[in-house]
Amino acid sequence: MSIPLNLKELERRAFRRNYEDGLYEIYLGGMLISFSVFAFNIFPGETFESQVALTLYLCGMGLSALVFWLGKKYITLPRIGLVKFGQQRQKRGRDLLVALTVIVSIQVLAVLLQFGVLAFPELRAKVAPFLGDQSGMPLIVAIVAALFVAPGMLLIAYFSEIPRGYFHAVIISIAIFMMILFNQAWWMVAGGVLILVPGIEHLVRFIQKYPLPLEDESRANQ
Amino acid sequence: MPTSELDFSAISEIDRLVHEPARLMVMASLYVVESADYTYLMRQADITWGNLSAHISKLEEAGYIEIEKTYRGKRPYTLLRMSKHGREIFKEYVRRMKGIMDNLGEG
Repeated sequence: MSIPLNLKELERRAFRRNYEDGLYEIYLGGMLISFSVFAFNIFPGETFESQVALTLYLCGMGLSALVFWLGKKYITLPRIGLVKFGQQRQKRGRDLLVALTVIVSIQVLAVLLQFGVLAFPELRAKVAPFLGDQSGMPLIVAIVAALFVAPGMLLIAYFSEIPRGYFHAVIISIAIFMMILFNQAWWMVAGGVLILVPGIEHLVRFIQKYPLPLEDESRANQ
Repeated sequence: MPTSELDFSAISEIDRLVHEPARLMVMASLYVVESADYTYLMRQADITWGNLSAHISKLEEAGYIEIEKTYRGKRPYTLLRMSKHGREIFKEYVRRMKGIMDNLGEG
């Protein structure tokens, strides 16, 4: 594959190569599926004992993180090597962190405000008339929940310059929206699978595209 | 205009060490990052380990790049970075080449 000799593009391609391995998708998909186990217990008709659900959830999260870490160490790094990116990329990382902090702070404030309203009956009584007909409540909650997740995911995609990140943002937001609207955790499983399966496909392609360097070549790094 | 009056100085002053295609790719790859290892550069420049090693030696001798011996866990690890001098040289190379290409025109 020819690489255009354009410095910005050269850096961007080098950065994106880190995501070609699909491990991020495997991690994200695994987390969503793990969370859905937890979510099954939130909705009516508990599927698992709560302790079983919590154990499965934590094991799933741990396994996803372990696959990501081991994959990066034993599959990605030996194949594409190690690179420390320059100040501009580090600045983008810092900007992302600031933007995420602002968004998460607003979300935490919104949640605290909600709990605050629920905690005080007088306040709840005052707010209730403004909510009007409660029949549309699940739809509103679903929209709000999806809007909670979407900005963060979109910001990650924008600052990381990873086009697939926008797809993740859309899938996860829809999964959360549908899960809340229809009271079914299966939507989360579906979202997780839709992200996980392409991740596995990317990993297979990555391994085929970047074979392990020969013994002499890998010793060059030492 | 007679050939004798043409100004070739801009072309003759191009740094030949940087101008060689594989080394140019190595220099460009290192210019856009802080540091990288041999495997990364082999992938980026799409050259064999033998070739890369030879080019790295030349660039290091010229003081354009620095080799940093470090550790990853308990294993020794070699990272390559462009020196301050190398960055200046590369910037100057790009500036000169742009100037030459701009003056060259379409023909």
